[in-house]
Amino acid sequence: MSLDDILRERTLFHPMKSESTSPLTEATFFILLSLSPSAKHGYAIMKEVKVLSKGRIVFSTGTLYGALRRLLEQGWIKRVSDPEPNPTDRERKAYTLTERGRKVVNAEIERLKSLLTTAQQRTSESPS
Amino acid sequence: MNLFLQLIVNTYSRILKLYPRSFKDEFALEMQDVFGNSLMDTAKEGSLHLMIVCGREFMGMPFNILKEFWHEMQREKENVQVTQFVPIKQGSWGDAFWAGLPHLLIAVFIGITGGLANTKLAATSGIILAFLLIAGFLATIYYTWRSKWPAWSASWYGYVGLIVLLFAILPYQYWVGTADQIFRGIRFILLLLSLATLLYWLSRRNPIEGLLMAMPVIILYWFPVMEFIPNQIRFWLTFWLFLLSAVTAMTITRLNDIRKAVWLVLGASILSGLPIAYARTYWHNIPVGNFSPPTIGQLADHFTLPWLASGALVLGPILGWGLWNLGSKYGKAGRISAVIMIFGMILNLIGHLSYWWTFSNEAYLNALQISAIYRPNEASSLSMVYGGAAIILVGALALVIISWRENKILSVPLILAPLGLPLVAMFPTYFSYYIVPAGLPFEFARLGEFYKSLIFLIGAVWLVMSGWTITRLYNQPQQVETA
Repeated sequence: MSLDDILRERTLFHPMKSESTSPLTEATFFILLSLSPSAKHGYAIMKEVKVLSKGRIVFSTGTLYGALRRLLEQGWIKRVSDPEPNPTDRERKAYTLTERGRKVVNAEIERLKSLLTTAQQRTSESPS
Repeated sequence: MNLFLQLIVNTYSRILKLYPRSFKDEFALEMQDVFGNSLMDTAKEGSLHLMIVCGREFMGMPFNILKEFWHEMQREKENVQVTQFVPIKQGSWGDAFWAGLPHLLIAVFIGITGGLANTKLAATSGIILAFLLIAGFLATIYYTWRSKWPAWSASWYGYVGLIVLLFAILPYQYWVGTADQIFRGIRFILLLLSLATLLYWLSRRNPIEGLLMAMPVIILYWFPVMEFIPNQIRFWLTFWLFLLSAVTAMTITRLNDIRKAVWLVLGASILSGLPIAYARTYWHNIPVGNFSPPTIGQLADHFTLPWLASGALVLGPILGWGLWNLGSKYGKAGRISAVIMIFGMILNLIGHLSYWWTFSNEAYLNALQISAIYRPNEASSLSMVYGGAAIILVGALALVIISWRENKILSVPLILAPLGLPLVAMFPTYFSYYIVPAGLPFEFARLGEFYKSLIFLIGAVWLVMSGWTITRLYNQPQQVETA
């Protein structure tokens, strides 16, 4: 291999990044989970996550939209027109899971189930 | 919504303007609605809940804004890295014109004021033109900020940086006591900030924009050589220097190809530096008896030193970035080794500079007078030189071992290329001012012309090799995939 070959390797300037989807952070998981049944606008997501997490995760607006932006960029969610009317005159956008986002959330659910199963088996095997 | 809640939402929407533009354009209105809805719902639960919601929102805002700016920077960096490998898209002629304009304006300014010689008209038109230049720079800053920093704006910011640099290094006599100390501190911080910005642009953000920004710095290197050149000749040389810079900036922007831009900058520096060095050697106005007869060796001194030093400073950061990427290819250990090497180089360079500073009576550096912050002395300077060199070697050795284990031993030349950087960058200080290089024998500064020329030649080979390495680093994807 010549120096040229080494220098030409694409990875020299671009170390390949493997996209890691699992495990998700709790906040991301709950946002995706809240969008699982249907599309929702920002405030509805905020309320749903609070309910789903039993009050443990309460987003500020800034934190929520930072997270939504990341999810949009990753292609896990997309924007659609909000089916519910907006109290203000402005057109309101809602967010929904993409096919890829749905796969990610399902994979995470499977991972959590598997973890739980392993933990349950282990605790049931332990001597009482 | 009552007046109080409306007031809070209005304040919130004002603060939202602090987010990065792209984020703001996409989410600000939605966020304002969501915050308003949340306030209305919470108000029904009582004022304590309202305070908690407001507190959470406003307290978290600085962090969220910073996080979005950071994210924005990372995204830009990734975009820059990707565009380096997509087929090169040429800049338009309009962009090229705007990139060359600041240099052209200064060339015109010099042409008009110099052409009118010492007449009263020259003084008046000089002041008017200077004001027009400053107004032009301010208008451009505003315009480029509004239009999201087009690539050609880097050409203008180079001059803004140069103004900051001159502010930082030129002597001032107006301040005394504590005010003087504070003033020195501010100037030093400004100097560091402008250098850090230049380094960032050259290495990580976009090397083409970095080169455009660095051109005034290269121009500045030729000014000390023009000392003792008669006024009439100096006027033409200065005019030529800026005119050539304008053409170079335009060509770089038009071609938009870092591999060609590197050679263009080094080539333009030769074309402008050679006549300056020639005039300084053979046509100077130093009184008879105060100089020795001109020789080719003197010409080499006057030309090679600024050319090598400015070239090394401009190519160095791009090489450093290449080194970092090479390290990244070998995982965490490689990255750490590269960081160690880069840190060593910076420390070594600061040590050389500090050592030179300790012994020189260089007017500009003395004028900078940062002694309030750091007082250079022989012991601390040598510690940095030797310590830096040892750290470079440790990092380089680790990187060589890692690449050897990966069967990529041939990447060693790239690992070793930046090693020459600190020394080459310091050539002018050692050879022009005859300060003994830190850590080297005294005789080094008094070398005969043959040996000096040999060292200059090695420096020039190093610079050309570094330029070549950069052109290989930035190959296009078609070539990458077929390799």
